[in-house]
Amino acid sequence: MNQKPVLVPRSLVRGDKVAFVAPAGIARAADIFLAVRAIEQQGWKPVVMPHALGRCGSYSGSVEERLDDFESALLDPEIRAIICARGGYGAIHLLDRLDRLPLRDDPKWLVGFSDISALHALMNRHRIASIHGPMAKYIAADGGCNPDFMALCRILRGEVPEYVIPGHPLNRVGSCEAPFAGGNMAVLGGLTGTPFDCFRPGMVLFIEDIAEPIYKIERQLYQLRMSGILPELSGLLVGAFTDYRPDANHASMEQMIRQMVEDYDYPVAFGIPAGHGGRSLPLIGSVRVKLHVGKDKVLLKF
Amino acid sequence: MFGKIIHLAVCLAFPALIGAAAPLEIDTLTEHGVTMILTAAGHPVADPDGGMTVPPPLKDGDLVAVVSPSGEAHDTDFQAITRTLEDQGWRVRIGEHAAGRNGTYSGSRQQRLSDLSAALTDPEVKAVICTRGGYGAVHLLEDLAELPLSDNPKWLVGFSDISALHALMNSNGIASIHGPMGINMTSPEHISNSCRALFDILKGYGVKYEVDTHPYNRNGVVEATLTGGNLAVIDGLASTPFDCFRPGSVLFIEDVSEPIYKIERMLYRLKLSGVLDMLGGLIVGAFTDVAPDHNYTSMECMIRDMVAEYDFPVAFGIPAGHVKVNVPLILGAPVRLEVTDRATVITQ
Repeated sequence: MNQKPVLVPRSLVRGDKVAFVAPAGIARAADIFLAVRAIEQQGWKPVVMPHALGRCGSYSGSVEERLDDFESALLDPEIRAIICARGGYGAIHLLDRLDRLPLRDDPKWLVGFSDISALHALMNRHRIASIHGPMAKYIAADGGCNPDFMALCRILRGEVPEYVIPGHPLNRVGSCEAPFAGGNMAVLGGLTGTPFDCFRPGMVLFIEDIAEPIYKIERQLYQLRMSGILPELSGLLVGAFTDYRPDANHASMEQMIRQMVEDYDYPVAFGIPAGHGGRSLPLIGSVRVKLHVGKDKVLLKF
Repeated sequence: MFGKIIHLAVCLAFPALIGAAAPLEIDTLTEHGVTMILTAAGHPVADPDGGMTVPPPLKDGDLVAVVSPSGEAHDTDFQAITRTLEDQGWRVRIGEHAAGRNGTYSGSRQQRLSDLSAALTDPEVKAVICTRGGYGAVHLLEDLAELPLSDNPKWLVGFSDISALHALMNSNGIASIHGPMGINMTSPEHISNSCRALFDILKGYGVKYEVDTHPYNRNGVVEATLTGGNLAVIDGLASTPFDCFRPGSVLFIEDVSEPIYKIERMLYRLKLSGVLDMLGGLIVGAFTDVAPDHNYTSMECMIRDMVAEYDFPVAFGIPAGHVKVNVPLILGAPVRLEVTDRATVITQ
């Protein structure tokens, strides 16, 4: 599949349908309600899939129900974007069956983060661009007037995003241009060695995570190091790592990550406003990105 | 603790006895509702694939090294560990930094590396026993892999984080022992039966465990190489040179304090990477410090569901892992796993 060109889903126009799905955890109805309003305000037609508001254990539905919703959305030619209501855990249950769908026949935008990283990994395997970006709660913030949702709308309309991000004391300066992929570290690490493994030498990697102790992220970086990925990256973007505590070995997650890449010389940027930290700057997976890490700012162009 | 009977058969490793009929009982031990019977029988020492070395047995006066490759063991009674091992007739050398402390580790990466390298490359050392697990063995793998480990293969003993070092030994074609560690040897007057079994394996005996059947078991018989250890640790080595998941092997897994969904994610990884599909058998050890969630009443229930679509034998409730009875298993060596309506029998 690697030889195929990357497909970028077509841009959305007025009246296009946007589906809300919950492929993993239980979504909050209030978040979806507000996100639906925000999508309407953009001139698009929101479609809430049948089980998006469901509940089955800690999931929005059984594997069959979640699969049905996602498959219907993927196969409906009128739906041009699929926005995941939230993450949680469970998207991995759908991978092997979604993998059999003719995804490249009619590529459409997939939006989400956290557990949704598993679905980005699916899109990455099929060489289809997808958006690591805001889900229902983040879209609903400030009545849909928040900068991350605005940026998402511009991407869905076909604009190419270009971000200027403040510098970080741990940044390592440098420039590169390479294919971009990434997402939630625990989710992507959990796909290592499978057909959905998206770690490749030469890539610009983005990582974020929540509630993972420093040593567990370090263990994952060791895995990337020993599997030959970490030494061969073109660049590393570090998003928000939240809900963890410093330990007796490291004052912060960022300090540990910086130490783990000390042996290499590619550009590294910390403090990318994406992840569970309240910001979800949309990042486009599978396509090439131009990264410039300067002394006091970071330029990111997809 | 397990509310079941375990027969531990320690068998003399005479290759000539392979396939011998009824094993000869030589001793019976009981502990916490667990019965261990020591017997004499054959011990298959040859790897079916022909590639694995079983380190030579320890003799009287042989040297045993105790090292702390991961977490700090500052408060551990090394004198007591020394006495326990000396009582077996061995000489003991405690690693220079074994009782040290550096952050959560026993020493800096360099200090831990130097202790491990010294122990693993000294031809006089016949067994390397780890004090405890924790986290940190992964730091040493790349450097330890540079050592000529197969020049004088020796036993490496431990579990939990030490699974990373088993992956190293096994990737170098050397069998190693998942079992009790130094911190489990601090009462020379009260040696646990798990430790006795460990010492007997080190002296060249084979083992045979009989464990009560479990409602989730899937019957079957398989003979293959045993691999595995702490699931989070070995999962973190997938796709590296120390990846120990092999098609056809019998996989042993245990873990502590991992939520059910995280273990499920790891099993999904094994499923999606084709490992589960090709497994020869599965031995489920102790999963401890687990809370039921909205999806599953127990870890075992989830594991049963994950392997429902395959047909290899599956044995639950094997007392190995972060539990009081922690029967030693030889990783990288052949195992016979027999799961029947009567019992689970594990022979090595």
